[in-house]
Amino acid sequence: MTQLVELQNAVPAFAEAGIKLYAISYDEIGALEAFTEHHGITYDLLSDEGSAVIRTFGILNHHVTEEQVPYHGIPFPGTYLVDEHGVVAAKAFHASLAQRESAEGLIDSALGEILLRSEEPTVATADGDDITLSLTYHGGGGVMRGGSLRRLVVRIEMPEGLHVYDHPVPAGMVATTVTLLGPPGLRALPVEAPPTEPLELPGVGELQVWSNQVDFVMPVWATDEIASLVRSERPDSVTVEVEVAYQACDDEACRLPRTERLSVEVPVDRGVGPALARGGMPGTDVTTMDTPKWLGSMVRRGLESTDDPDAAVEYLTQISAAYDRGPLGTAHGASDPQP
Amino acid sequence: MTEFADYVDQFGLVGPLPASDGQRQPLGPDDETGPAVGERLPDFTLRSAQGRDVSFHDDRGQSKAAVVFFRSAVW
Repeated sequence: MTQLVELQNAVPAFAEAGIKLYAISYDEIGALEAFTEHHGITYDLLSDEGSAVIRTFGILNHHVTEEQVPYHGIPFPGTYLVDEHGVVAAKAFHASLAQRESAEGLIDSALGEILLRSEEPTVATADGDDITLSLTYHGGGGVMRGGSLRRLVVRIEMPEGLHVYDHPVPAGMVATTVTLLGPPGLRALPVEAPPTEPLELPGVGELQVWSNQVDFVMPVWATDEIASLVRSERPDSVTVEVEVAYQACDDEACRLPRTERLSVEVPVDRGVGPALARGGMPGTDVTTMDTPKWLGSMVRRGLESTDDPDAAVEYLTQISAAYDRGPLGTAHGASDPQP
Repeated sequence: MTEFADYVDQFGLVGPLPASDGQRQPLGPDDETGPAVGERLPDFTLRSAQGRDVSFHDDRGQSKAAVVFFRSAVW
């Protein structure tokens, strides 16, 4: 649901990029109409009740069995981008719900370039008087929120004649690396970098380099660990920090290797995690994510099912433990693989 | 509106689905993700919450388009 609202926020950006936007689910039309009205959605939410189109595409989530009413019929969440001819130009299907593509990510892949936006938190630092490094938190309007990917974009700008290295490099030289230092709970996928150019160095061989301006892109997502922090301490922002190691050379000489730390304050949405603690998303008639209701229901049923006081205490203890683990039954962030 | 079946876990607790449940399971390496890059997207006609029937390729005309499949606007 967060994803749909984020897409709505990005409607002007989609229009500017010449991309028409459609979203499809197995919801009945009435549910989509209610959502559309409540959230002021202006793009098309399409009802595939019965999941015929989802099946035609071959993306029915077959891990959900037919007995699991009403969840049976959902797709694997993902997005197709088609070109002017209706041919798939790119698609994004991610392994985790927390890694759904952001609106900005879709637009970038349609345009084939990374469009940094003025509202996105950014910080820059200079190395000497000719190299600039910057870090930008890209996507979602520059706001940290659970449910979809963001991108940390490290941009190195250097004057004509200088270059930085990709792996591998000979001993004594430093290849460019970007490492996420924090905050805890922000997880990253491997860094994406543009293609390198070969550079022949006498006595060394062929090395791979980047020159002029190069963007290193690290897809990141916020886990429940950050959601917990935000719910308990209610900060306005969190600090995202990366370390960039590199060595700039021209064709004749190398400068000393550098290690720079860049940190940027990123505003957080209070609903940074799944809509767990807030009783679900407004504008929906039914939610299974209403935590107080869920706990109340568990407790009532548990107590009703026994006339043994010891069993009731044991039951309440279990519920308390379950609540500590979080409503999805996982320790904070524990289900997410370490990068 | 959709009626929700109670989900009862191993402790007899009623609530949201556990992380191991199918709808929370990640996309596996063998799971298909539909039309490949380079293929024409299959056409479809669906009712929109904006109150019209959308035939995808006719509706987009000569425009680029993003088609987002999501789980549900309800839960």
